[in-house]
Amino acid sequence: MPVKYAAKDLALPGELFGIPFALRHDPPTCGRVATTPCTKGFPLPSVLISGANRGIGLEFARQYAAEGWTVHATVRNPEDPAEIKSFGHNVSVHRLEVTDAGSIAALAASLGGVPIDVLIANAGLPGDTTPLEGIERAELLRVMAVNSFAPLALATALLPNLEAGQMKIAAAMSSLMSSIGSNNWGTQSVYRASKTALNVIWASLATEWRARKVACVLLRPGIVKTRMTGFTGLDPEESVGGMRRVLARITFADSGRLIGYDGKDVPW
Amino acid sequence: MPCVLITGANRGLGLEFARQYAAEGWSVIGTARDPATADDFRALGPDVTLLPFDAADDASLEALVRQLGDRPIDILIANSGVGGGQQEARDVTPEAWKQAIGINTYAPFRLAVALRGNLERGRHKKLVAVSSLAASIGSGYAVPAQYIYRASKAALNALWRNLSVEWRPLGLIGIMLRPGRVRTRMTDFQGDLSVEESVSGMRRAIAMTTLAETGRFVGYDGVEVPW
Repeated sequence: MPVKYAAKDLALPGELFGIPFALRHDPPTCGRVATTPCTKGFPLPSVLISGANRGIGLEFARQYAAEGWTVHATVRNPEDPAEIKSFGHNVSVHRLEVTDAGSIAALAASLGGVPIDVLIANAGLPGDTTPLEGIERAELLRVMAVNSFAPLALATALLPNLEAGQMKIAAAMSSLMSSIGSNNWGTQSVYRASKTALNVIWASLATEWRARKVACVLLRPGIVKTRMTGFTGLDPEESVGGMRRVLARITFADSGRLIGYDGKDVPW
Repeated sequence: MPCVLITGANRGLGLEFARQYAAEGWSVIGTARDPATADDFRALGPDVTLLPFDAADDASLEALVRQLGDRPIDILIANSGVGGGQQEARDVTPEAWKQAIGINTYAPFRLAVALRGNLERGRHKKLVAVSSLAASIGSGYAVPAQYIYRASKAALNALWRNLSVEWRPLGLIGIMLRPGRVRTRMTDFQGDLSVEESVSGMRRAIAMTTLAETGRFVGYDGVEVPW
């Protein structure tokens, strides 16, 4: 896959990347309202993306890196993501197995207190093709552990980092398939249930974190050409570009919403 | 007379469903994890049958299905469930999570799937999940610290909706119910409703739901619940 953007294409003063996080003060407002890089003297925001080795996660890493953000990319297998390392020196790769509490704790420890402006809990298992009759207890539990429970565990472990950031956005990757009200065609029971559960968890988290001023939002990527969809649908560039535009406009008042790559709310 | 199968029929909403259907002369099959706790159920009348069923155990589920054999079931009421406790986000443990998803989400779904043939042989052809307002995001439900319970019931709704959609061509009718805040053990007997009121309302909602409304989420008060 061709690299469309590279950090070197952006005329950012290199010393920006060397500024200690402790010196950060005002939010980089141009980073909030647009997807264009801020070059006015403030360090750019930071993002942590889980499941960044391929598909939508990889594209998020590519695009944020190209704009000069500090990118923490997590992958299950650190040998895997040769491509991520080519995105620029503002990208660091971390090992993370999202269903392993020890792995999440190790990630949090290795990050120390660094601010994370935006968390994108993206790692997930794909939709299943198992017919209703064949769904076993272990499969439902396995998929829900990854798609529903793990984002909560990750967000919770990284709360101090989010609170240290300026933007304070915890985003989780949902799906149109999470929408019960839209479901008039069936299929993919396990995947649907896992994403519906994620939605209600994120809505609950939005309530709990109201006092902390952390916005918890859900994203719908649309049908994107990835391994998960058999490579049919939108280009990842377009989907991720759209979701980044959504994220750039998020304020605390949006906490608890489920918003599509096209800026439209998805019915529950 | 028609036949209703009610899981968790030894107490609370399940026992009241059994009592009301039995009083109308229905044939009632109830399940309980521990049959020794089901004396109140057994006392409901001559046409009540108690079968053991542990929703956390697949072998128990298969044994229940075997015992039912080809018997027509008019209405399945998947009622048994656990509360999941209350905890802040950081205190949600994978163990409590797995237990609640297994019992509240998977077991009702699997039971419905395994009893599809029995429901098709019944006349009413209704599969009912006892859900909760806690499953709803659109209602603005904001009781804090119920991550596990809310997730388990929201996922149950997602699965039940899928059953409803996929089984519509078979003439089977899927219904999700909101019991309201009922004075039962699960609410520490704090609530706005008696079990009689809640169950009467839910039975009315079950009776009034036709195939055209399959896959809906409706309250004891007959009002549609937002997803």
